[in-house]
Amino acid sequence: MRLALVALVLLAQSKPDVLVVRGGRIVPISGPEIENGMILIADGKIQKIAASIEIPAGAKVLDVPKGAWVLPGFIDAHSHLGSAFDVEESTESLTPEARAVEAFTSRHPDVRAALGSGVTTVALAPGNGNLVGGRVGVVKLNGQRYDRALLRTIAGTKASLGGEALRPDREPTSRTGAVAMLRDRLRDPKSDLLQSPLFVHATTPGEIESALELQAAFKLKMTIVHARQAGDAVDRLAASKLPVAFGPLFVSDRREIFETPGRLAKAGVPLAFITDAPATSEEHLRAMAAFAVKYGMDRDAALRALTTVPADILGLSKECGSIAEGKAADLVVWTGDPLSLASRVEVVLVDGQVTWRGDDK
Amino acid sequence: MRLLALVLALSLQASEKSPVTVLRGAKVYTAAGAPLEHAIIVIENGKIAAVGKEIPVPPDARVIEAAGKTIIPGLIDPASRLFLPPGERSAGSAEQTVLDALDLYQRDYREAVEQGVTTVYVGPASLGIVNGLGAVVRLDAAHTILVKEAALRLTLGASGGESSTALERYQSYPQLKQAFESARQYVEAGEKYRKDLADVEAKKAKKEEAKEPTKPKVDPRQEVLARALDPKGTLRVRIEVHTADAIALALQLAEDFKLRVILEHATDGGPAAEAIAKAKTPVVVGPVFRYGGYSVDYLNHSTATAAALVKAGVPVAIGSFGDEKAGQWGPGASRFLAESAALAASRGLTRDQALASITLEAAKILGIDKTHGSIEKGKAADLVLLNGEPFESGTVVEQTFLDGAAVYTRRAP
Repeated sequence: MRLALVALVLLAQSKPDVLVVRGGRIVPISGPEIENGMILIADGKIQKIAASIEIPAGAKVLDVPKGAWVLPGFIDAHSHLGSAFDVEESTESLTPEARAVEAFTSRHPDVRAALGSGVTTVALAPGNGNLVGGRVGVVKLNGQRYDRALLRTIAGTKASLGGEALRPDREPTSRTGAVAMLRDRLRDPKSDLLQSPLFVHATTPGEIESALELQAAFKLKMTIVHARQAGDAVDRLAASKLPVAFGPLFVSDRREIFETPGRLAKAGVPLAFITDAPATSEEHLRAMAAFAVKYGMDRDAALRALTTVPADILGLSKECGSIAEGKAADLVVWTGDPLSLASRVEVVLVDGQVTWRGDDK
Repeated sequence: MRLLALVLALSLQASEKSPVTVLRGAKVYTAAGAPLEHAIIVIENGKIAAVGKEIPVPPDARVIEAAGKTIIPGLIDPASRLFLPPGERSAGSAEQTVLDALDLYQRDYREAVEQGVTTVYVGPASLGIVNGLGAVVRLDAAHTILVKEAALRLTLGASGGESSTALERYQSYPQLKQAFESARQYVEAGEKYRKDLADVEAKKAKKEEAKEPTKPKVDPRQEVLARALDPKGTLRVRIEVHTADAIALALQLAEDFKLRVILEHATDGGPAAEAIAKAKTPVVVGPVFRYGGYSVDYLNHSTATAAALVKAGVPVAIGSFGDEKAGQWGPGASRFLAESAALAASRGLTRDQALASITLEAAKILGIDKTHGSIEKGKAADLVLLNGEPFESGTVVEQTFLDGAAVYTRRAP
């Protein structure tokens, strides 16, 4: 059944670097949906999307049946995938030089599971155990060795205003202390924190306020990470124009938290979902979007929250996040609407290569 | 304006009292056969009086037009934490009943009703190996207790907290065996006493001399275990198991003592599927949404477990299992029962199997399938009216009916 659903048709004298994805409902995110469309891929990049494309001689064809959906690979904007939380040097309050990508294990079983859930790109972040935990990096789940999976060694710097960064045996021991230390660091015009985009862990309205004040004072390029209790800070977040990397959502959360992503998106806040894996799993990324839609989020905003918004936040918007000419051919064929949890992934292409299939165990 | 509202309210109330209600025109997934298109469901006295396509509408029936909608049976969560206070965990013992721990004033249940859940099984939270009796609770306003003592809950693994150790399993298995062995002796002692007593009565009748036998002490714990051992009894035994090793021990225990066993969780049930099927043991799988940690018990957690068991022929229901050990902290997971089944469907269950796992199969495991779990004549009118196909994004519950009464109606957005 599965084999019949997606058949790779190898034509004679195939040139391995040209591929045409044919059929299915193409959901580019950045443009209108195309029913039964085609995508031309060469050298790992998307060359053309149209209702009909002439198949170049020697191209491979990936036939997608009617009923299947083709979307860009999902992007998780905040994860510790394959790193098992081994990403904080918490006895020090400031370790900006630490790089989260260096704890990544490309052969971790969760990495295969992530691909099978339609996630192709993951931001790896330091933990919350110190005030400035280190550099956020990005890996492409291309099934390759760590060094070949690296997309960005440094995409930004992680800071935390959460309780976990406070310790009795070193500074800071309080949020006031945490904000003061960050301010002190930022006053130095040569501070690397001024240059690098900051990913600030802030969950409660109070933590969010502190982050917004630092941003306003120093004109920082900032993303608010988690924001789970942002229900009372929706207006201030919207006024700040800052993006939010929201989540994770747990099935035991209060209704108010489930309603928050929809409220933030409606107020104009650019919102991306995050798994914070292994706090949840990459398999949970689209489930969060599905839950948010159930609790009132616009479905287009929910799809952007898995694709274009995280790409923007991570500085990848020219490279991936949507099905558009010139972008990486990171494509996922779903049996149906990915926001319906009963749909499943059939095939995953990363940089135009089939990296995962439905019968992969 | 106010008067109009009053008249409207009164007329609505009057029609609510109409003895017969008809839902007309919906696509009905009965959970007991192929879906019926443009079907009619006749509800009388809270029960389904008729369901089908060619059914006459009684003349004075209140008719709810449902063309273009879908109706599924009220969902049954066979492993819920609703009404249990957060953090409620105790060592427990056989004769304790979860009913004494329930906080029926909690309002979380309403969110579950909004998502179509009408019946839940709540088991005792556990720190021990024999934890007490679980109950089946209806999500009506009165929280009617449908089955007071639905099952005796045992634990083989994860008893002490997030994770069990091999030593814990090694110790709990012989402890469980010992408990049932001792209950068997208790039953035998009772039988011997009754026989001796009869002999004494017979001798007395013949005016012969006879010594009264000593009456054994009644032990409420042993009484419950004895009911589980009684071949003519109905008390089921639910065993919490996660690893394939613990599953093997649970099946052995069931065989040794001829228990009516149901496995809970069966987290690593995939590799054990054939053995479970061979033992004809039903399983309550879950939680499908599982977060955090890498404890031994959840090491091989997979959303594909339900499908692996169903393929091997095991009767499977899916439970929400909103509990601390599952990395969750609230009672709210019953709200996402349909999503749990949907995610299991993405990993190999058919949609029909997924729906059955939270309706009819769950009813069978709870022993209430003669009256609940499917849309069939004579069963309780527990119905969920959807605006589209189940398990699809955008499909919402418009109304939940419990015993024929609308217990939830969606407000226009």
